[in-house]
Amino acid sequence: MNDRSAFVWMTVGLALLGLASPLSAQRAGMWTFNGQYSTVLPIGDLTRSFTDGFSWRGGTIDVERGATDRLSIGASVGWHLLSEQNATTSLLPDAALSGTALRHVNSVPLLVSGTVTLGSPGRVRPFFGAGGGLVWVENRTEAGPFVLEDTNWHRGAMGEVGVQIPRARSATITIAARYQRASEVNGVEREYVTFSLGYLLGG
Amino acid sequence: MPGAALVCLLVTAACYPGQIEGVDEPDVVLTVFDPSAAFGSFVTYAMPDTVIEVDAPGTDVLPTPELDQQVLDAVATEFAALGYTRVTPEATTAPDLIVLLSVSASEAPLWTDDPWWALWGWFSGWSSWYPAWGADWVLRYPWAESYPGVRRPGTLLITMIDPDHSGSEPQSIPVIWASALDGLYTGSEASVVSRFQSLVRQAFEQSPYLHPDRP
Repeated sequence: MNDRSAFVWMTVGLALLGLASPLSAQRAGMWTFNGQYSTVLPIGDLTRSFTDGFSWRGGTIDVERGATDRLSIGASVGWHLLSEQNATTSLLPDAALSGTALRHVNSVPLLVSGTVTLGSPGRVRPFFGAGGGLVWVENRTEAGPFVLEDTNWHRGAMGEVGVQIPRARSATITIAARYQRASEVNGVEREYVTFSLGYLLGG
Repeated sequence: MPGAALVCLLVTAACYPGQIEGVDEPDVVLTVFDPSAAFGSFVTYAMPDTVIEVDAPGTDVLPTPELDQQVLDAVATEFAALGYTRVTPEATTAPDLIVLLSVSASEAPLWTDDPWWALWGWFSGWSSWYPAWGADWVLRYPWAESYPGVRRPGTLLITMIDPDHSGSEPQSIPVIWASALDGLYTGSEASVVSRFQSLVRQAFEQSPYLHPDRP
């Protein structure tokens, strides 16, 4: 399944889930803001061959508006960093660098997102999300006096599962795992999973 | 302003963790090429029989004429394995490529506009093959701005020129492929001898465009 079809199916699934639930005015029309601290786990051969270390550096912000009681639609922006010192070969379209080096991936996804939240207000609620858009990715290799840097805009997609844990007033804690993909451009493809702890306001 | 500087520092450190520590491991091989070059059409090459010491003579670089010859032989071996034929300066027909080897005596920008005449003017092939090149022409690396860096003392630079590949700037000789072997000529001679063959081979292995299907 390619990126586009995966994104379409996730979007259709979310829409059906959201529309199948009883409509209510409780969340429809209301804005939510979810600021999340994210850790990053690289997956996929192309990503892991460049940087294969778990990263504690990342952040994600989701801003969405309730379309129905369960379905909200909005935007997601993130900054996710992978970094590792290893001895491999960094390949760019017109250059290569081999040897022990610090290799970094800075990924900034800019996505349109949708989230379906199940369960009842005031209780722990599971949610599912999907999104698509663009991902800016910088791949940087630092070895001795040499630096190779390669930046590209990729088509991107994400799928997410998580839970909302209600807290006092209108704040909610979120815990989520998100699969993030930046599709192939110039031989570079990046895939990773973020594990995020968020603080959700509104909704 | 101190606050802004602190933010910049934190952001930079966050984007490139470990950058301050750096990596100072030896045996780093960089290769860069010009994608517009027709690598598949090259058959013959010439290579001057000297590794030129670039910049003012330094004290950090080993004066090792015997080692120079071994390095030249290693490069020639790789070209031969790819099916290229080496021609001598006495050949009447110009080769498709010129391959130049130099080693840095002091730290310098990685891709400097090397003065062709001052460094390589003694090579007798030039005058018979490419009489249009003047003494003030320079070697120019088209990727210099894309891949900046530093050439540390002892770095071996292998440079490939296609004389028929016209440069975009006047009086420039465009380089179509180059490989920098960081700090190869530093350390003891035994250390260099133990490393150079694998590093030269690595430069060619990570340049698959030099491997067109050859008979």
